[in-house]
Amino acid sequence: MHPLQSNAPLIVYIDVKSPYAFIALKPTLALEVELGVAFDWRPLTLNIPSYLGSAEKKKGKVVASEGRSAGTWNLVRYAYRDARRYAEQQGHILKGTEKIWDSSVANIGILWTVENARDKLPAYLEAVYPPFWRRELDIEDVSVVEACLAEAGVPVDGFADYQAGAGRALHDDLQAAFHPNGIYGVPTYVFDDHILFGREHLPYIRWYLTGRNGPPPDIANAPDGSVPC
Amino acid sequence: MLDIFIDFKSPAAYLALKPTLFLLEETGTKARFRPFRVRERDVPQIAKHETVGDSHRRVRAQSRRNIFLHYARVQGIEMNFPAERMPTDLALGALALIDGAQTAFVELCFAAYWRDNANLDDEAVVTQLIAHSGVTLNDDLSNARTALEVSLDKAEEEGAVDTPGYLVKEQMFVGREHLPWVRQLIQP
Repeated sequence: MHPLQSNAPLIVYIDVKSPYAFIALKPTLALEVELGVAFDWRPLTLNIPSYLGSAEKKKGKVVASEGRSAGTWNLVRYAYRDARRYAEQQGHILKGTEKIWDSSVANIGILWTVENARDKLPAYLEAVYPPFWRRELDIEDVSVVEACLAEAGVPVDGFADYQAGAGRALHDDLQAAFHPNGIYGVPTYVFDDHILFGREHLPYIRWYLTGRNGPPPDIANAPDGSVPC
Repeated sequence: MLDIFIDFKSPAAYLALKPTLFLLEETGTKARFRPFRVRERDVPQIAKHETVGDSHRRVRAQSRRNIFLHYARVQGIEMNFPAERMPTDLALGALALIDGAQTAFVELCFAAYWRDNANLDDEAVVTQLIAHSGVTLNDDLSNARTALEVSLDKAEEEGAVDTPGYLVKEQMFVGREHLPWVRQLIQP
């Protein structure tokens, strides 16, 4: 799987543990429905400590932190506040995570769903993201991810082997190919020669995928999670 | 009243100027531009022994630059990244000292930095920009750096973390992508 190539008109990279990927789901899924095409949804499992330092919280208090300056903390706090207010506008609860999760199993669930029940992908994302951000899911537990797949109507038989074997290999190969191809975060949208990070590009993406009529739009987020015109 | 935190060397703040001024005009909103110093980094070169973090920062910086240039084309504005990032403190300090309308000075400073790569920390350059924009300072330009530090302390207390920052009804929004929400908040 080449990170920049797909038969779909748009590749969408997401990570279950990213609050910005969470609040990008609604407008991105809405655009997919609006355009009547299937986007190519793929996982990008962020290696957060490598670039933001690490942190662990208990009962809302930071109990361990490494490699984070005051400025980095301010940006991280702002990012969560920002994501939270948009999530609330979409009707979701977004609680800051208590640790940096390994989201690879849940993310391999995206690959599994795309391979085995593509039409259930929105349901799988709905089964994983909102409860995870309410701190109700242990996404490192394979049985928990299987339960999410089942809830979404995705076949579960074989997933445990897949996430440890072929799915893991596919996932890991993809992760290794991101930086050499100019991809680093989520949500990232790839189409033609464009690599755009952030849901604020959805107005431009819509304009591009619908024939590029009129002047191209600037970046924008809609408070309600729709795609601004 | 909308408080807008800017730094002239911030490409994001430069790209936000046109849509922000459009919003202000369309809604009849008064705004105060306030200085906030950002650390803009150049795109790192590929290191011989890159860690994952090094690689992430390099790819992110290159991607951000590509996206800035992309939207400069979308907006039809000129954007030339200077070979070396220059401080903009003196112009930012002058901004903090302006009495009355600031827009002309802000527009001239952004254009000077991003079209001509002018040194906005140079007294002669900033003096000329003040004169051309027709603004009046409430103190001598020699006190601009002190005014900047005072202004930065206050900005941090108010939650500024980056530019462009929009402070409206006690909410801070960083980035022009939030203008639809800002618009909702400022509209009567």
